[in-house]
Amino acid sequence: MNRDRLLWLCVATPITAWAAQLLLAYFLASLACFKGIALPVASHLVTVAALIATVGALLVTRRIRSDLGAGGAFLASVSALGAAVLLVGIALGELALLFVRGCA
Amino acid sequence: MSGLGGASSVVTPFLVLTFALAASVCVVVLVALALALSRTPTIDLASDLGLRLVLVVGGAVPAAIVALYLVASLLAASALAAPAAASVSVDVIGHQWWWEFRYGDVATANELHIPVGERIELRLISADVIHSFWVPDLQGKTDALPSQTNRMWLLAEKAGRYDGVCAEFCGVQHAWMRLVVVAEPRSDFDRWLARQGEPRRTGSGVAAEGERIFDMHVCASCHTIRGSAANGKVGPDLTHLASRSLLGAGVLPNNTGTLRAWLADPAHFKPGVLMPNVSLSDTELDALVAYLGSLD
Amino acid sequence: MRLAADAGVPSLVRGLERVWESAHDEAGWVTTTDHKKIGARYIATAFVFFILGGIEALVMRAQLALPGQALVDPATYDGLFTMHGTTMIFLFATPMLSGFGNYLVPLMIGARDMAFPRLNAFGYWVFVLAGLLMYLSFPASSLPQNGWFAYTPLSGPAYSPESGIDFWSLGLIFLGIATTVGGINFIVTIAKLRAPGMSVDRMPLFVWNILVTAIAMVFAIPSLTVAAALLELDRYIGTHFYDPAGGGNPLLWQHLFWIFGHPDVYIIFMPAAGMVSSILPVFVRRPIVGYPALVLASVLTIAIGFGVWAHHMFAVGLPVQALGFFSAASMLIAIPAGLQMAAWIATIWAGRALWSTAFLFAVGFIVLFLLGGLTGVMLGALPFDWQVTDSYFVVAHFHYVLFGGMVFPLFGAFYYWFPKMSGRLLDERLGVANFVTMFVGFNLAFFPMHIAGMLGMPRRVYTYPGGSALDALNLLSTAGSFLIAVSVVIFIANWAWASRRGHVAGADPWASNTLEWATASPPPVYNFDRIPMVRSRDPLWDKRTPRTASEPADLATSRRQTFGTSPIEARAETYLRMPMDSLAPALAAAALFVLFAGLLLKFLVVVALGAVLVIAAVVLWLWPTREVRGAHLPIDDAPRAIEPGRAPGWWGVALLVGTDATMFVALLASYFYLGFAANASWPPPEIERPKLLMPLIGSALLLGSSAPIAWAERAIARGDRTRLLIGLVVGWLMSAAFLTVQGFEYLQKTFAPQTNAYGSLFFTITSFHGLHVVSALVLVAVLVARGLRGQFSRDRHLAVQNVALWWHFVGGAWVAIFAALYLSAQVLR
Repeated sequence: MNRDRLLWLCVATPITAWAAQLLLAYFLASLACFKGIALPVASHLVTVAALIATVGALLVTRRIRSDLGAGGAFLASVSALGAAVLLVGIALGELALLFVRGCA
Repeated sequence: MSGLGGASSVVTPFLVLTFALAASVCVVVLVALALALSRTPTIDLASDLGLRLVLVVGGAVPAAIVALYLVASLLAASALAAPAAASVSVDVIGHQWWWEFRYGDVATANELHIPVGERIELRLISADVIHSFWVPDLQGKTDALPSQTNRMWLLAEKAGRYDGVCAEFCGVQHAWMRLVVVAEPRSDFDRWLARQGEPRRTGSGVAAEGERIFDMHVCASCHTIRGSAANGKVGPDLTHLASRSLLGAGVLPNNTGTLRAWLADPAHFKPGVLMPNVSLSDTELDALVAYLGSLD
Repeated sequence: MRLAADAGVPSLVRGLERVWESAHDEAGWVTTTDHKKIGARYIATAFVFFILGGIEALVMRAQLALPGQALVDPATYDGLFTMHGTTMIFLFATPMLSGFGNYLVPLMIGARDMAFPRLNAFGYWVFVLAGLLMYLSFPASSLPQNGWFAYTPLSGPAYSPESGIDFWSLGLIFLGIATTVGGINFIVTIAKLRAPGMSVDRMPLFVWNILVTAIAMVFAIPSLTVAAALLELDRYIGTHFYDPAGGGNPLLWQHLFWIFGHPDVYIIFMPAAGMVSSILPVFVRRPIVGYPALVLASVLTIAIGFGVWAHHMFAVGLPVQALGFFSAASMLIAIPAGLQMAAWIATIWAGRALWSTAFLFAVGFIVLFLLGGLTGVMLGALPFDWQVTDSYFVVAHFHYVLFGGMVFPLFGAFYYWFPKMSGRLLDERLGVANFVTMFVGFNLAFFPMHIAGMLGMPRRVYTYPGGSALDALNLLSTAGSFLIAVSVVIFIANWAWASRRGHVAGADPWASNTLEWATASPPPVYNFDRIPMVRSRDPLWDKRTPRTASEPADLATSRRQTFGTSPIEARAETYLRMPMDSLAPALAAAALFVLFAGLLLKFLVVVALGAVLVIAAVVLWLWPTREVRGAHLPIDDAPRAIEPGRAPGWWGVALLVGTDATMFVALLASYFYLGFAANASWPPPEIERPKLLMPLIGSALLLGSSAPIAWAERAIARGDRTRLLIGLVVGWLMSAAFLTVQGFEYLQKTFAPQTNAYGSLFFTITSFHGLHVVSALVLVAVLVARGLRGQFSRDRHLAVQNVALWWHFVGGAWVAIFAALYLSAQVLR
């Protein structure tokens, strides 16, 4: 893949993973509360998938950084830091899954 | 938010944690800012050291604090939201601009009686726009929507009167859509509920004349007085109006003088109120006040 | 070190003046596309709205000073808080920051103007006219009275039959056009017009923050536009989007509104944070500490900001286990906020403070933003939010974030950049008085509101019962608000005095670091004699003399142009021709005003007239003038010339596609949301499932039409004008056939938009798409007309590329609609 495209993919993946976890978790909770279809394992699997995608993007970003120009390398560094913050975000989402129950 | 009733055992420690954390962070940051402003620079922060410092102090430390605070808040939220057996269930119906409380077939308005020390379930819904039920000293708020029934619970640990409001903007008289929760011992509550379930006391003399006026004019098309011909569904049930402490959802206390003034011109006290000005003569007003005043 | 004119270049300056000056008459005043004039107008107009919104606030505070007052009647009070919120958010904060962005971004990145100067002028005129439309509700005695959030069903036809809410929502849809094109313009300008050498790691933080803000604008506004449009459909033609009786849901409004509304908070905050990041380093004489952390914080705040909308809905009765995720997401914002605070304080720590008014406001901002940020995290916690939401605690919180977080940086920015814009310094003693009164007044006004909210005072009440602690708290707040007013009067006096008598500033009075200080104050109309070559993050503090990378003098002085550079590394790619002044932007804005006024008056003839005028103005706009033909010249002598990237015009259309696609996403999400909430089969049982045969034929026609269009585009890329025309005409006919098929399907339907929410959705989504098909047909017709006149060639056919992109998007959108409305309907029982 074109190196610039790969960089943009690495920038976009963590935030997409975080957003997907949020939206899917919201959807699954609504499904459980309004339709009575509880899929507790699915929510945890979503977390795991989001974590894997984010860590993957982080690793790739670090690897390609040295091949980029000054601006590209900067974007890669910022993106890696962002992936770290979003890992925290995904973990916080999992905390929400673990510590709160109820439909009221 | 003194007391916080039955929710207080959950909410009070959480609020203490919240303010303690916030105050500590606030003090630390302000001290750092003051030092930064007053000192001459000693270390060169323009390097990677500066960035690392920022990432740790501004990123990792807040992340740790927030994770702990999130868990504490989620545990408290679970406790507050948990459904539990309730001894009394009340349907709360929001109207522009008053609260209807239904205990089964027994309807009253703007004054919610509950037995002290017991968990009460409220089922909230709205007859028109979105309202929000809030009694600050007893529990957080829950919206009353026209499209779904929401549930919440109340538990007053001390007998007394607790003021409440509508917290969601619901139109021109949002400000006077207040309520009061009366928490009383179980025996008093049972007596109150039994009395509220009875039909209106038949009046005589001037009061009977008042009833005739009530049924003849538009009053009866909006209000119900159980046991009489009046069975309107738009405004509050007035079967035991005289037992209530508030008029116009809190805009006036309820006594003979205020009742008369209110009937003479509701919009004077509550501009935009949906109750029309019935334009009664003084004698008609006197009779009406005598009738309504007898409905205890 | 100065990059301004040295003695050797008077002929260059004269040439630049000749091509860039606007006509010095009334026509020139209207037709100008100079980003500095437009920016200054934005700032002045937004300041007028600031005064108006402030007066509304003062009347409210006077009413609340004591319990039980009747200074204004309740309905007027509701109108005042609606207009106060709407004015401050939409007509003051966002346009004010757009004004600073407009004025400063081209200067900071070393460009001669914005990427789309005429679109820029258009955005300003739309903003003025949309503001005017909303404020016409005062003379019409029909103020919107539903708050800036206009919750349904209160704002719907049953409970707000008066026209006030129409002024509000039509005004917002109209204004959204300005915000969206402004956002697109900022993005393309920053991506493509930076001076050679200004790679993304060297961009001033203000520019970074304008960039992320602009992205938020482009993707947040569509949700508001859709929400407001559906509201108007409910009100005007009786659809049921928000009406529970007809299968709609009032919570749909809240979702759509807050998916816009929360990012909008950051749209307001981010540029202001960028101002702080500009001001602090200059007044501590050290580069900013933690630049990557600040860039990260800006990007993350905006991105996460799209995922926290439901924290405005914690009390509406969503499942608690769903709210937990939004609570977690909301608290995640504490990390980027913490990074910013740490970087700003570390920057101050790194240097020695030079106290000036601009610096005072920046430090005041840090204190207030700290408090607003902390209460923000608290409100992200479910139990805390349930207790204080919709109370005065929230009013306190968001004024700390928005007034503390935006108005304080803004006043700092006035003191810092006024010398650049006017050539004169504001008075520092008046400045200190300005700061002290505002800081004291602000805290006096808003700190007590935290307590009032904890004590149980709800928001949006025109009065409250007396005899409690609320009496004193409200009196304090009112006193504070009038002290803020005094502060603003001091500022206006300072402004008036300094404009005439202030000390002459010179090019760079603060010894600053960024490029806007490298040219005269006020800057010449062409910004820079020679476009600088950037070698570091703080070019004016760089010991290496910045070499100019300017175009050859004869090119620079023969027509308006600026550098086109690559998005990440800012390598020089092309010279971009810039358009001349034009009346078309103002005409297009006026035509839109006619259209919206017609909608407001429910006067179909006026609406039709407006639509015709809009189309005429657009055609006038797009018809090439002699100067602009062939806009995209590759350069031969660029330093390290590389493959030219896509033209700015293509980027602009791509972003327009992005914002438009977001509207389709919002509509389709509404479709599934209402289906989910209906708790039955979708379409509902009483409505037959859509048949597939006719729509399949239509889809084949529409999707197939992309082939001849793509073929035509490839043909003109080889210079083949005949095949271009054939391809365009064939594509046009296929697409027109699709519309015909759609028309037949409409005729066969047994339900109408008024039948129920499903009918409302079906017809709204398909006809919204139909409008897109019509727009594509008009554009291709224009292309055919231009093609017949031989206006396209192998090197000059950007318009064909742009229209083709639009065409393929219209087809792609149909795929999503077909999957949702036709295919899912076969399954969702």
